[in-house]
Amino acid sequence: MVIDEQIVKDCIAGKRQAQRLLFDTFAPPMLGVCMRYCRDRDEAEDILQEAFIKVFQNIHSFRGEGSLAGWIKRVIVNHAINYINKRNKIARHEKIDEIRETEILDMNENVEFPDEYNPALLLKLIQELPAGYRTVFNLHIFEDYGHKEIAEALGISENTSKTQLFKARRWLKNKIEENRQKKNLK
Amino acid sequence: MEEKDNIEDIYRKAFTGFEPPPPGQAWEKVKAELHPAELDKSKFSSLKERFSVFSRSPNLYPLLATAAMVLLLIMIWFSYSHKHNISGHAYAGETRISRGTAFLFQVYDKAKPYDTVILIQTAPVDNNGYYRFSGIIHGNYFLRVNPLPGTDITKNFMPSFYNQDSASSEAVIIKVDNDDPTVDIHLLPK
Repeated sequence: MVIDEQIVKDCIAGKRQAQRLLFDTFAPPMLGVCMRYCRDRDEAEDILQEAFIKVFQNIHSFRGEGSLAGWIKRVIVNHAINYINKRNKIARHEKIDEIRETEILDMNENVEFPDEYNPALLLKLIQELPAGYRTVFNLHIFEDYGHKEIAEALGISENTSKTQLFKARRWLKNKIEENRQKKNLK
Repeated sequence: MEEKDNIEDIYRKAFTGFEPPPPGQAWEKVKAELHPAELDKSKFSSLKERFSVFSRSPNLYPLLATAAMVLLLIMIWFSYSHKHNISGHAYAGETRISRGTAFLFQVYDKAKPYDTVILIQTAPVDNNGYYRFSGIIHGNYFLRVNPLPGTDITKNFMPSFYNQDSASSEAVIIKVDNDDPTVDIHLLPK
């Protein structure tokens, strides 16, 4: 379904049918975004519905510069960040670790990625990440945020952002490796 | 550290175009927030729609008639099962009076019965001195019997309440609850 300018205008006018159409079009992919930021689907649906209320309340501010999907995604991601910040899920107390050079070298080793890995499994691994790692990883990998932007969004230092990204990568790499070994044992 | 490893590629690739199954009740919640007034309206229209489907059913009128009949029977049963009779005989001395009238008064306030009585029924006393009131609801009552004027009994006996034993004594309240009371009344001699 193509969401055209008229549908956006109808949404601005508060027409329910247009809102439903827009919701049905964008809710599933946006739920995928929300699920990356949460530990489970229920929490993701909560974020999704709250964020979509914001989308409809602020859709008049969409100027048509860039895609509507991109604009909605920004609203969703911002809301997810606020939601996580509010719930204080970011491990602000985490000590900024000094990362050793060997670890950095380690990071650049590629992981064998079996074909059978699917988004559902990878999503599960992301959801198992500690909230801080998960948020930084998502913002960096999927939203292309730099560490400065992540630090501003989450109220943490750039170094913490870097550390958490590093730990998230390492954690995911280990988990993927574990899964691969389990599969081989079977 | 900023260098990209293949974890990023794995994730980027895996999640390109990824869509989980659509959210369940999320739209309903969003709609409720955006259109709170319509929520009540939609509930009403859903009821209306259900009724409209039901009203087109060929079984509607037989069903309604049966329901009405059942309701009526229940009401009749209820009204009968919760109503009572008061009956008994009226005596003048040792013999039953031949004719007269029985009066039943309902007492609304037991604390001041004489200020709150209302005559609710009269019943004839037959040749055998028998009277009967029916359809009596739970409550407190006074009962009086007047012998038929112009007969010998009226010459010798006074109209009397249950259970006066002298002209100066007071009437006794008859309480009707779960049973049908039998109340014999003895007229006071003049």
